[in-house]
Amino acid sequence: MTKLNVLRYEIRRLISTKQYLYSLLIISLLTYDVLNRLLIGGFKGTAPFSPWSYSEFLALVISVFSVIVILMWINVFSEKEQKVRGIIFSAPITQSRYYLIKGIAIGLAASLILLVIIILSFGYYYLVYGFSDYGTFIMPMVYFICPSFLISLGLGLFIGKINVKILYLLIPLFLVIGLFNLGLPGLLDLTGGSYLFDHFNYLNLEVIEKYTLTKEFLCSRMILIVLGLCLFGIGCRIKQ
Amino acid sequence: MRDRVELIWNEVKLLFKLKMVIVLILLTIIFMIIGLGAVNSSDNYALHNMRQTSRIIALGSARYGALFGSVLFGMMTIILLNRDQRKGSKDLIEANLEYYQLIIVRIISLILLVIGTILLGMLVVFIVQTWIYQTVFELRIYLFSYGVVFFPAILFAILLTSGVYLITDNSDMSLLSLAGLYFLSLTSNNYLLNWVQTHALLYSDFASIRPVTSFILYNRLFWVSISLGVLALGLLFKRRYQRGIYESMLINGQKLFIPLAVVGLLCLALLIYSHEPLINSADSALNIEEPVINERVILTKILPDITFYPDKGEMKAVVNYIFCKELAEERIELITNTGLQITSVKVNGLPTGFEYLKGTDRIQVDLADGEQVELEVTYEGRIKYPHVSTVAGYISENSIYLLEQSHWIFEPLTARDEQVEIIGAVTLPAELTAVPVGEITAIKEEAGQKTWEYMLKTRSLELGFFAAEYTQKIFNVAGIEVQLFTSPRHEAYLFQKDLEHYITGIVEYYTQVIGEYAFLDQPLKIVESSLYKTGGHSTANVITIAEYVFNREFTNSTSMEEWRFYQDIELLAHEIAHQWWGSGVEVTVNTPWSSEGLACYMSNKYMEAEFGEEVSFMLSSYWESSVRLMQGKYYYQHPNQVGLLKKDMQTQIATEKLKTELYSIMPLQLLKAEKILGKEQFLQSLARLYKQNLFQSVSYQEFFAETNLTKEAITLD
Amino acid sequence: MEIKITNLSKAYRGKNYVLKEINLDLKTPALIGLVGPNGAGKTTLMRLLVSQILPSQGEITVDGYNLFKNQHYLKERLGYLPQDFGLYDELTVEQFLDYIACLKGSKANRKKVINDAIGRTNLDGKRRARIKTLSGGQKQRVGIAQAMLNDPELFIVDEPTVGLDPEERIKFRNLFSENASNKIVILSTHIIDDVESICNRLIVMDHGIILYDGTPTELVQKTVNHVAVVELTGAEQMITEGQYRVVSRLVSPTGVRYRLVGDDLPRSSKLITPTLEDAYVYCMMKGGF
Repeated sequence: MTKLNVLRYEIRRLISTKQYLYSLLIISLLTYDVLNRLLIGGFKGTAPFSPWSYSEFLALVISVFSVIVILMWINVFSEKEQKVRGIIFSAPITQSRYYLIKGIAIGLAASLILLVIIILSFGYYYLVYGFSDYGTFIMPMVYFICPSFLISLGLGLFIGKINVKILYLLIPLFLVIGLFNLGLPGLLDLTGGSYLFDHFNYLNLEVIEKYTLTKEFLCSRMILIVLGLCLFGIGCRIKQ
Repeated sequence: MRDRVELIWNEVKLLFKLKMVIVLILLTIIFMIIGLGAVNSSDNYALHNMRQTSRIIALGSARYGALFGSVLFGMMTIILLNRDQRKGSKDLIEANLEYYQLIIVRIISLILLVIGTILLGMLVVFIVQTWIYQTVFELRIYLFSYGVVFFPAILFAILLTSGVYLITDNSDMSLLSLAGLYFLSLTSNNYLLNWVQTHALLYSDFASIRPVTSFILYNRLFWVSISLGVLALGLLFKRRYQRGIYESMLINGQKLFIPLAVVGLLCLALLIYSHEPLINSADSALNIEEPVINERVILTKILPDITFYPDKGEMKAVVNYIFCKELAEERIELITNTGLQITSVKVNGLPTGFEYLKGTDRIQVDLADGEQVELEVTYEGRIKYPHVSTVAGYISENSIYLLEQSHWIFEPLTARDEQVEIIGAVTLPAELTAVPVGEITAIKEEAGQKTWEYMLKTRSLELGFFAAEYTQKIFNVAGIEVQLFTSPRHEAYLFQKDLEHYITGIVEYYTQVIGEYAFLDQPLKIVESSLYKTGGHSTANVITIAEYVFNREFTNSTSMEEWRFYQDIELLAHEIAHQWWGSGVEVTVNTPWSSEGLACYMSNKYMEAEFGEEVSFMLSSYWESSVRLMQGKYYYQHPNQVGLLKKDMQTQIATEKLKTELYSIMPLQLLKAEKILGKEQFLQSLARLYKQNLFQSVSYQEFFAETNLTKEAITLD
Repeated sequence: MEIKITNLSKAYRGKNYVLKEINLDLKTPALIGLVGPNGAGKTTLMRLLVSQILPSQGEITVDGYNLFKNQHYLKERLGYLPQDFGLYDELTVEQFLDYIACLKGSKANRKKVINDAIGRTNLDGKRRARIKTLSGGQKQRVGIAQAMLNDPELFIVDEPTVGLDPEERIKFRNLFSENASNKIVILSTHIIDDVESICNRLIVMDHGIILYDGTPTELVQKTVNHVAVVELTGAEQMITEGQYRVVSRLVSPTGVRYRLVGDDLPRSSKLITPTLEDAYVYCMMKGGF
């Protein structure tokens, strides 16, 4: 129960900052921009509200979202926070449990941002197209949110524990990989953007209608999810 | 002054003590090297496997360096600027040095670090290019790429993040703003917003960098003012005496030059954006609606006299148009290029007024009474594009490329005589070889300038013009003189591909199957053009082929090499087919019916004859898949929804649909017709259609009449 | 509570020893003053005691349990204030203390524990103030308050009175003293006055070794006959340090009055009763007793 209170404080500390509000603002603007400017024509000719378009939307937005998650981790490992650790680690709480709480707090605070992205996109589709069959977006969400989210969460903790400065390098990594088609294969394609781009060059109509992703891609997403969780688990246990 | 230099030097030394800086330099250089191979991972598959030279690969290196370096150095800026706050040394530093000064010193030292990184990277790239790519390192191209694309991108990142950091006083917010701006740059179609990578994918080996220079420089000018403006804004909002943003602004604002710089720079940026001089968003090419033609007025002759100034990228024109009409006064419209300013309009020698139609590139002119009227329009300036990636024409130091769509000769929207006579002259520096349409009648040289006089009779009014330092090769095929104009840079390579053999084969095939070439008294000109306009083009008796076609290299011989070669040959055959369908016989567009469908079909038949059915089938299967893809498209299935979109997207969707109809549906319909009638009989019908309509136009109905087919019969399932 | 430190050493990068074979036995009740110059190893010893770092050699046991295998046992009984600490600026004093109390897993009435800590550290007026709005001294008080939460059996404070005004310093050292009746309080400080006033045990450290471990009175006793004053007029030669050390130098209208500590004092000097500060200086000079 008392640990739940710590979690509550951690979430409050995360979401009551001006940078969190700014993150929400930037991601909301981005959501609107991607839907209204980049995907209103539909991804590769599919409907703007097709699962393909939604996947592309998520792949684009998730890169900046991952940057937000990384920034949250950078703050956890900042010099200012490290100074508080002197007091915190004198309390009877293990490092693993403490970082688990931190990770859950970041996960929840970031999920709130995701929720805003999703609500905004749903609202946009309803208002512009009268579209409300949101069930079709579940699979894109699973394939294009979970892997990036978990990998940024796991990698953030893992690398932050090793060296916070390396954590900074994840920012350009997520941005470049997410926004620029480098033709990256499977596991390196963290946001799935490169896959969507390349995949469509070989697609036929049937595949487009069915929203079928290749086994290799699904495998890579699965591996990323597992990898993200493992990195998170290992990250919690690494002693500083 | 010496103190300041020492301060900066100390800061640079301090920077090098940070391990992160070393990592940052290394990563940036690694991306510069990866970028050398960017051509083969670009979104445009046609460019893949292009023969690589400094001009082709330099921009890739600069773009990749900029893509990664801008975020890295942006981050470094924030880390450096909030170091004192993080380390608690802010008060200590501020007690010894004015913080403004420190910010400037840090920014300068970072810029010096960037310069150092770029120079070091250039050295590494030089080694990699020389040893691994084994191509000559053209320093000039690299200096431009790194100096105008790479360095400014990082400079802007540093200035923008500094500014935003000073405004927000928060490193996360600054990093997020950088991410937002980065997102904008990478996803925007507006070249002015591409501050990181700039719009150009790669430079032309044929025409070098000049055709895209203005866009890149203008983009840089815009972002110089934006980033300096944001930095000035940052200095205005920099927190002072532990006060809030508003009070700090009042304190900082007392130094008058800061608010003045903010207002001045941001207004300048606004001005640069709103007065963009290179793009014409009102270009006719973007207009989906067909223009209204005044059928009561008939154009009989055009006498264009054009002087080019390639070093300035400009031209000057005096164009006379002769019209026939009834006695009464008539109002006609001309499609112009808004980059070319009209200096005078005269009707029958008398100056007259003209009016731009609002939101278009068309002007209205009143033609005086009389059955024959002479209209003289004088204009000068630079050619504007409808869109940065739609290069309809450019004038540059090494090459001039003007398609009829650029309206470098204003196009009157009137009826035309059966054969409009073009008697023209172009004047340009003597070192450039001019390739006008029609036949050259005289060449005069004076004071380093050459005037090329030419003439042509055309119905379609396809008036392209091309010039470069060409090497010319002439040979005869079936009574036609073929003039092949190639860049000396690619000459050896192109001829190695036995191009002459294939051109001969194509021309002979069409002559044999369709009929004699229409312009036996004129040469057939095949001209190499730059990659700024991909693919090929046919205009009157001139066809252009982009530099990458046939000009490819493969690390090891693969089926991909063979496939690319077939695609390249098909492109050449397609453009040559336009000499029969398009130039010899004008095909009246009635979508999907147009010269494109016939050219696609004919080139496919040539491929079948030359390389066999399997190759032609594979090439034609592309038509089928693109039709299926189009039919699956949402806005194709829901045309009523198109109204929701912005105009440029509506145009894009309409253009895609039109392209599929012209380039895929029509050839498939012709294949179906061939299946119904039998190949031989169908080709004979086409031959008759060609002969009967030579120098005239042929309609869809005439095609059906000739083949005894109906629209329904050839409609695809 | 009983803490045993046996042959404890700490070296960084395997060779730079900051603590060398320390042996100590600490038992409740005790108020221990840990003094020594900068770099003596005091903070390292404290960080080892709160198991924030691992020793290179040696062992620490708490009530017979090996500390590094039973950290939880120690931390449940620990209140710690590091020398250089940070606080969550965006939380209020009350929230921050509640946060730490939650981490400590306070089973008792958390609110009461927090109120108690706030009251004892004189932060009543600031309980709802955000920490970032507090002065340096107030932040120091928040640090002390969090260490006092749960009334710990082992109370370790590193330079706790830095940043406090003289009145507050007296108040806090008395507070530490009041609480020492049923616990071990380890107070690391540079201020000899603090130790003199409240500590019943003094540990002097330098270069990673213990120079003295005993009562302050004993240390003073060892310095008797080694402290003197001498007054020189302006014309006389300046006293330079040699076999003795100048503890203070007071300029008066008649000349300069020097307070000296050493084995071989000038003949003209006059012996006086030593203070703990004199004793500390003498101990440092001798390299321990």
